[in-house]
Amino acid sequence: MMTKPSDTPRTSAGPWQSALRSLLRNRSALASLAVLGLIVLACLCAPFYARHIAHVDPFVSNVAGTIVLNGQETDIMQPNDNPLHLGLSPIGPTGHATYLLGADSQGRDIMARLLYGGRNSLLISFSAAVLCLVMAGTVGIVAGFFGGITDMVLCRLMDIMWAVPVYLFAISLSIVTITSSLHIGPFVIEADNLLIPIVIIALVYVPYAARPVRGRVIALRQAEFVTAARCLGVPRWRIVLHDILPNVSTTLVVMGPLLMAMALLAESALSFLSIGVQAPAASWGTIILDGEGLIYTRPMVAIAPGLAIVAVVLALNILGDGLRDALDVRDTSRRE
Amino acid sequence: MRSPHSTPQATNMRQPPHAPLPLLAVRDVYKTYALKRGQSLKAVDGVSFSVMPGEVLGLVGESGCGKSTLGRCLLRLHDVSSGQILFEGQDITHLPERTLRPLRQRMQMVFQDSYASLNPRRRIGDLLAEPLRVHRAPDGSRRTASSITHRLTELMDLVSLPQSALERYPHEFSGGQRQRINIARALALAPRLVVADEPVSALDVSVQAQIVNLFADLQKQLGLTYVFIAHDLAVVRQISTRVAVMYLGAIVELGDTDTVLHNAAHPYTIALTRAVPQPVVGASRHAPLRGEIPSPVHKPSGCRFHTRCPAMQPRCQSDIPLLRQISPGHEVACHYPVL
Repeated sequence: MMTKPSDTPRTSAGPWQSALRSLLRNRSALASLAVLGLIVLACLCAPFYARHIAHVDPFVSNVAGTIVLNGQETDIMQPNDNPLHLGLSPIGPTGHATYLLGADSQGRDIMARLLYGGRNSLLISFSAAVLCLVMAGTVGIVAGFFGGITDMVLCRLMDIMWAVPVYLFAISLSIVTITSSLHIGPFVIEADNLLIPIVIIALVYVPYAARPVRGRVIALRQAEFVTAARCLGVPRWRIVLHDILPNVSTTLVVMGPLLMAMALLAESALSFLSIGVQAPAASWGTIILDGEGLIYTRPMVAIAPGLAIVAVVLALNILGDGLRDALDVRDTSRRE
Repeated sequence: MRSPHSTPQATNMRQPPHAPLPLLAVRDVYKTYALKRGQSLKAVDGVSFSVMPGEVLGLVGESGCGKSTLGRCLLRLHDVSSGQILFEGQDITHLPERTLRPLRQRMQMVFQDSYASLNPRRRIGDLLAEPLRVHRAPDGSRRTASSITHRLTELMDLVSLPQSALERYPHEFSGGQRQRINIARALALAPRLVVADEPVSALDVSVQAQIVNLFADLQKQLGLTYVFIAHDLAVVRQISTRVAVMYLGAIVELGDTDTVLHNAAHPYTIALTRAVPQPVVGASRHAPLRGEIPSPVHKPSGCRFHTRCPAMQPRCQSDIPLLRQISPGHEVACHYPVL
């Protein structure tokens, strides 16, 4: 973004290039990148998996359905194994392509729903992280660079947001927006629109991300190269874009994966409380909710999305650590 | 290069009508920082001087004497608390930044920390092109990419750096090379006045000489005017036509380089010149100044220097000595100058 790739051969490696190089030398970061890539790829293939491998429709109830297992026709809803065989439980993990991880209480294929749910969970957490970085970057840069009354107002606003626990804040915002669909001018945002959780999650984490940016900008504002730019008669907006932003962007990039991990957890929590992704669409949070009632008989329904969340959050955190190590230019460039 | 000295005195600042206009004139400038509990720090405490075109004014003093603050005030990087700063005869003390911006092309600064003053995330070519992109060409048009490239080539030649340096990042250079880059950037817009804020004090001694020589060469070649801030008299001797000695925010002695360094009249200047090590076997070692530089928050009464002065008289504790002319072009702020 900041360093234009030059076509001359004598050009030397820019800060981004050398950061990428050291990231590629970091094995744990690479491994986490691979895990993330694999999960994203699998989720992208969700429709293909459902139609051509599992041969199921994960969005319709299939309580009365049967599948053929080892040449035998088997009910999806099966009698419980308790002595009196009271009630029905969905089929457990089959070990076959169809209903690989079993079914939920509505007889839907968990594996297929897991992949579809991953699409929503990852899309929401990624978009929320990006949106949050944009908003937090803007707020942090404006507050830090202009200081004075602007800084005070923005900081107090963030304090107020920060004073409310993140999850409570997100929950209350979600309940309001989901119960009464949002009308913004001519646009109506329905309750099942993914924009609602994206915007809410991004918003509640703005104070978290804006604070370090503001601190960095305050330090940069006093940096001698900013004084030098003022001395050259560079307008303030240009100093922000050309001198401040490139130096803050590393802070933002490092925060990205961590923010996405937090957004994923928040999204799952909201969906688990059925105020995030709305049925029949799935997310890892809603699948855990589906598995809640089956936790004693069919624990896999809740465990599978739980493991997926853990894997992604862990990978994102390790990636974030790797990015921080790779992008810490202050250490490498000052060495003489 | 010696220019006629029409130095204004603190009492009478009017220039005779026939005298050439000073490029920079500073009149009774104060810079005060408010501290806690109603205290204040006068970093610059009533400074007046002027610099003629083509002149090099060396500004010396111990660290903390306010010379860097003064340097930044001259270019309006800090706002002064009171007093006037005139550039090319125009009062720039309270000009809004927008009006000041075109003037900034003709007044530039070279900073002490050659690394901190270059954005580590931008290539040298990009850094040097910035002033050329921001300011319009003299004919009022935007500079074209090719004219900028052409100017960058010139600048690299001017400071004796290879053209390939334009494609590199600041951390790939040594301190001396980076200071050359800073000089090139300051010269990009062909300024008339350059304020150099201790440009060599962070460099190795061998490199210092090269950079001072570069400053001197550029001054002759381009007819520049410098305010050259330093704490090292040897550096100042090499480049300055006139020297101003600062102590606790005020100028205590001002005059030709030779006069100030060899016929100093202020006890502080004398102590400074004697503190320079002499490369002579058996050179007598004079007793250095006693005591520490007093806190600029609690300045001594009367003459600021009386707490450390070897020739202190009772009057020095109560009366503040003003800068007065003791011989043409030689001003001293002392009740009992050494003549």
